[in-house]
Amino acid sequence: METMKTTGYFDHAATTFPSTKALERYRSAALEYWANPSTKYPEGRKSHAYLETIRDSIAKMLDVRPNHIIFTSGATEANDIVFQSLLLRLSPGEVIISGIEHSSIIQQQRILEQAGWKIIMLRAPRGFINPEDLEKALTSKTRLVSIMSLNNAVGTLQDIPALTGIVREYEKTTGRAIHFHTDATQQLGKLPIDFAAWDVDSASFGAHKFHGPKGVGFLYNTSQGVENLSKGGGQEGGLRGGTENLAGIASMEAALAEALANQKRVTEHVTRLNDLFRQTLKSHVTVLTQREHSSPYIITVSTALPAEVMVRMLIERGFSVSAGSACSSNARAKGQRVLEMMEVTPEHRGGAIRISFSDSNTEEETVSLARAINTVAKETV
Amino acid sequence: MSSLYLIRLGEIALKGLNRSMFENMLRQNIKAKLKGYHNTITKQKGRLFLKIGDDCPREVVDTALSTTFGIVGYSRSFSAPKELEAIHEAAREAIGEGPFAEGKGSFKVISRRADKSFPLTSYQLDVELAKTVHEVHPDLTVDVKNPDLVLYCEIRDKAYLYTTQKKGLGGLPVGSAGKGLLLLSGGLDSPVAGFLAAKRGVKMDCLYFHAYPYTSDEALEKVKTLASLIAPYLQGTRLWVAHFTEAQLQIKRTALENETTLMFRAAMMTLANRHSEQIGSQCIITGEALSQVASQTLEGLSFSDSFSEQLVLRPLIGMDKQEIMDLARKIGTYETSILPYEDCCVLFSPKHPLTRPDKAVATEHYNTMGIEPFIEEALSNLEMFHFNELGEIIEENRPIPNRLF
Repeated sequence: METMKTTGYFDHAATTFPSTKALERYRSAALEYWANPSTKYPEGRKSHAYLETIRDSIAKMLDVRPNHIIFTSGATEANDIVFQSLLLRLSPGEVIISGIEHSSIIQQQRILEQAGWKIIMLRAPRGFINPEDLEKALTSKTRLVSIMSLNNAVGTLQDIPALTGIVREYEKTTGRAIHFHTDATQQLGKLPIDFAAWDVDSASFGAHKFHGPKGVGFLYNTSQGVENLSKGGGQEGGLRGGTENLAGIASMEAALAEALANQKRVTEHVTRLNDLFRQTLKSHVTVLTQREHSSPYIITVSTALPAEVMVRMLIERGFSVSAGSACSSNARAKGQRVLEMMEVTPEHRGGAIRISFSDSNTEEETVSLARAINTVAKETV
Repeated sequence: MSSLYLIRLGEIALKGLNRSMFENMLRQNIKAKLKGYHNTITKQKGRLFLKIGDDCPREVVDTALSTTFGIVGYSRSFSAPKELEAIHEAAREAIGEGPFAEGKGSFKVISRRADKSFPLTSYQLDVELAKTVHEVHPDLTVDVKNPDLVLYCEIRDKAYLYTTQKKGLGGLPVGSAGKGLLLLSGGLDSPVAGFLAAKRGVKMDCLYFHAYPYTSDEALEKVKTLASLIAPYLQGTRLWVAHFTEAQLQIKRTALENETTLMFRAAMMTLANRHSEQIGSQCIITGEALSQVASQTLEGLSFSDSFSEQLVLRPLIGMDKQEIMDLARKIGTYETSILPYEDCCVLFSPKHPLTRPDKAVATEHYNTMGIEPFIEEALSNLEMFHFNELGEIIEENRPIPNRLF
């Protein structure tokens, strides 16, 4: 992959730069396939054929069926479709989610509860869902389980096959299907995904996390029971109305193909960076992301400084990283829910910052960042 | 063509020999807000008359008159020679626009003669003008007890007719009481304190203590917005920004934990006093209200007072938080003040602050902190933003901030 220069940028989990190939594909697709794929004249049919070619191509890359790929505006919308389809059910039931989900899922709680649903939130000590906790939470009323495969805040990986296995076993006892959804936005294009082994009913993805364009993503969905509250012209098998963002979708496909082709090499590179980063950190910096069963792309550390202050001090030194919490004593501590659910102690929550790597980061700047954190954490106060 | 505004003065009109000083100051303050539009302001006992070119939008005049202290009310007026026909004509103009324009509801006429030599009595004039109203708006009915609309007529050097009475802020012209320095934070209280001090005629500059990176640059932007919002009331102001990070760190390093807030306040008061003197101001204005927070106890205030040689004004001292919030809404600073960028980082806020300090003991502690060079350093690196009467920045003076990091 042609790598952009992103000196000092360590927030690739928030978003990252688009690849040149993805941008080139956007341009060529936008110029060539501008007609509406839903129309029946030759220009529209050409667009339609192209859209389906892309769908086939993505399905092939992921080893899934093409009709299980529903293009959306991103992972947030994909999550929305799955959760809000519950509102169309005749009677409310129960939903199990992990407490470390992205806010696009956590926010569903309020809407579902208003409609009479019960939300059970699983804790995640050290960032991991205990399969036994999931087993205990399942009841005959459980309709949906949603557990993200790779956590965006700290980078921990869940054992999805083990978790779906528990759900599938439970289904046998009640004879009732339970939808298993996973938000896998941080995983695709970075670490391998085996959909057959995962055995999930749906999963959500956003292109901009793997060097594709913003504003496009997809929902992998095998379930007949999913219906979008938002209606449109019947596109995407009726699951996502609105004229397709064809150039964006094509660009996403180019980005995905490139990311998958480079996945092994880039993963090795960021694993080296991650190790180097850990080795360079001094003992007064606490690493909150354990090395095993976590993504090498993300590492969260904590110091005695409020995260917001640390972020500003790193900006002064030329680094961009992400802060989870606010500095103020009065402001409600946003972004601390995940850490609380991970059972991180309060004194480590306020100072947690997230570093996320990509191919563009060098060993040299990674060491500089770790040293900067060491220095800032020690020097001040 | 030009428009005429009759401006009523409250307290100023009661002043004795120095009344013209107040009137002149008010005149200048109004003129400063209407810069760029040709206008003349004349005085008559208890009144100012503003004549302004019609190229000036009415909203501009409204904003100028409704944000200037010393005005209790004003009316867009029509004048005429003291002859009945001319008065009728001016009345027709007055009721052709504004609240009378629609010609619906009930009305009355209130005439007043400052010039008693005018041949008609006030009552006779009321009746004459009511006839004119009926001619123009036949559907309007007279209701002298509870009218929807009122046509006013004042007989002075000329006849003045108007149909609206807009409220002003009252108070005294800014500048008439002298000059002060407002300690402006990003919170709700200090802008309101500045407003109230300005209401009693204090002209002021503002001083903000910035502690980047412990407080964000968004916090500074917020304070700049607040300064810009209160600037019209203050007849323009200069916002001074003291870079206080190193001083705060020194205090954090050397002070007893429960005394840190008190020490910050003492250091800020020391700096504020020196700066106030440098810019020729006579007092410090703060947004403190008694017992609102841990440092605003009698003992706490008395301690920080002891670091001020200048008078410290605390216009909010007896106000409840709700009253302060209501006033903040009224003057338009509330929405900005409640933005989440805090003016103090949790790192510098002790868990259990000392609420009733012993002044002698705390002063001794302050004197051993070695804070003096840090205060001098901050004083020599002040940033300045000058806001005009309309709240626009007209001058910036930013020495390269001497940041630690």
